[in-house]
Amino acid sequence: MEDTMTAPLWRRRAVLLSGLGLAAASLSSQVRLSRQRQADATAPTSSTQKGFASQLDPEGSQSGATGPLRLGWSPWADAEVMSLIAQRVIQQAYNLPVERVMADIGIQYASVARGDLDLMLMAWLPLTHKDYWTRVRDRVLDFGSMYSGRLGWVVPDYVDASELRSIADLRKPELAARFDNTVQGIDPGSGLNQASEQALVDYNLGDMRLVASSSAAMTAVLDKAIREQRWVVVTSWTPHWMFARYKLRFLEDPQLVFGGVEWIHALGRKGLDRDHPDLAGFLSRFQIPDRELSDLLLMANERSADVAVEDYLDRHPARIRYWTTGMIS
Amino acid sequence: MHQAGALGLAVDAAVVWLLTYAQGLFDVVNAGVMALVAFAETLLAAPAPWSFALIVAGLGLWRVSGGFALFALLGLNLVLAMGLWDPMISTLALVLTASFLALLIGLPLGVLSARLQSVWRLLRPCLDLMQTMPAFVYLIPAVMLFSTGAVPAIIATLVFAMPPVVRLTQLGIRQVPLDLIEAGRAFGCSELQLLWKVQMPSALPTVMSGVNQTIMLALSMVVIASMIGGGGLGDVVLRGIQQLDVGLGFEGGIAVVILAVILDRLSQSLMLEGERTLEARSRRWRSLWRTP
Repeated sequence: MEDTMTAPLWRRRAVLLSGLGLAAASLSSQVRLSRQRQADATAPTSSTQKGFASQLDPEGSQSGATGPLRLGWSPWADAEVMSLIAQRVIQQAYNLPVERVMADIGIQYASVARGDLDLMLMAWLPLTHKDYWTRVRDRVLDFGSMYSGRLGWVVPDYVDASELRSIADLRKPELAARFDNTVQGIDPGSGLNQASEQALVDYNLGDMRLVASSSAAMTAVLDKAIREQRWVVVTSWTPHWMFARYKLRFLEDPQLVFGGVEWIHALGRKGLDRDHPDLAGFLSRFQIPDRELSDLLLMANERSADVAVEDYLDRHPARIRYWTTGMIS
Repeated sequence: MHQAGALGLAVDAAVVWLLTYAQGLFDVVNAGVMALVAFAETLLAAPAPWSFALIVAGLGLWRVSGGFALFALLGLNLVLAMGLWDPMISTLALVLTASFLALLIGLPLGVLSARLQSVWRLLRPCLDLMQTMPAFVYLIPAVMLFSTGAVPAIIATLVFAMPPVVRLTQLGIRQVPLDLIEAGRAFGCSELQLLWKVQMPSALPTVMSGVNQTIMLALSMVVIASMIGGGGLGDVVLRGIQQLDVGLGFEGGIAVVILAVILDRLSQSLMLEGERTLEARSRRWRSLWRTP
């Protein structure tokens, strides 16, 4: 009799006590983490995302001469690293606050043309972003290229190079069948996807089909195929972290459907050079050798973009000085 | 490549027309919404995380249950430990601002459409459009009219999240039993008294589930809105997806879930009577230690 009455009571007491203990532990851990966070916030090199309060521009947002410089970026590995470098350098050398705004690439073009964003660092010219560029070219400033890139169709390195070297080789039906007659594309409407559609026509690859998806889905498909050691063709580009993570190679493109080498330009809104003349100088000198960028991307992929950028800026003081002042030591 | 047809071109032209002739209006709206969201964020970011969590847990203990208070403490602790506190506060500020505006517009529209059949006939196809149009489609015009950042994110969220509160307010008021209204009339209620004293109280549970739905939809849209610079947790999720960083995407997703559960339970309970009052709960806890 006694046991049946007390057992549930004991259990309920135990649940209540452990609940209270858990709450206390959680609360004390929160107090500790809050303190740590405050310490981080007072440290000078905290470049975490700022809230909207900082976007609120007291003088009126359209002028651009006041308030932080708005720098558009997309969550691609190379864009993240380049935008972080630009943010650090501009903040340190010119004492201008820089706010990074994450947005889709087409929206960045439209915003820079309208003057809502001051800068974007991801204009792939002359071919990949041709559609965007023809629409905005009269309304933006081009500060020139920062590094080069390449587009094309990529296969894992274990796909036999003696059998498949060039895109033209995919005309053989038995070879195409080993890829399920499929090329994994990225976002419909992107420059790369449109060039890939053209490639199907120009190389007369009637048996292959291009599956549009998104750049995230493309990397996921590649990742899965490599885990299963399956043959796969994806549409991709350098610089990209997937070249640091996997062994991959481009298929040759003898007809230059993908246009050979592409250059990645920095674009600014009209009037940025008048408002910040020294900034225009920096942007026109802002260039990174491809090898250094790929090392940087590898490090960003293994550690974090912040760490990699910090490390890069520490190790190349002469280059930073050239970018910001134009002086060659 | 598929191009926009005649209908699409007309929409394009309409947006251009708006940009040329109504820019002043958009600037006013822009400044107003910006001030509102900046206020919300300053307010939410003011307390230290532990005191914020304590406030949420206290609210939960009062209105929901002890288990929920514990969940809120642990969940917010996890968010803090993952280093996602600031993005979460940004997202919360966006959700609360968008929901507030949606309710501000939606509730009167719901009442109006319950009382005037013609308004409801006009409004219903608009609501259908707002609810079934793919969420991404809102982002482009929002950007064209309000540039990038928090304001277009809130506007797109507002359009996406408003229909449930309008529909459910209308439904709730229409479902008030006729005899109740007759009774009200018999006691000489004016139309306004009828609305406030009879129809609204009786429709409150339905209206509140509309409010709850609006808040939850706003949260889901805010994540999508990071594509146009909305910021917050959406940025974390989007980065995780784009860079195939499953871990990062998952952490962002878990933070969204924690925020969603807290918002859902609190918004559901705040307006309704708690299942058991705080006194009854504490009496039950005390009774655990009383010797029989």
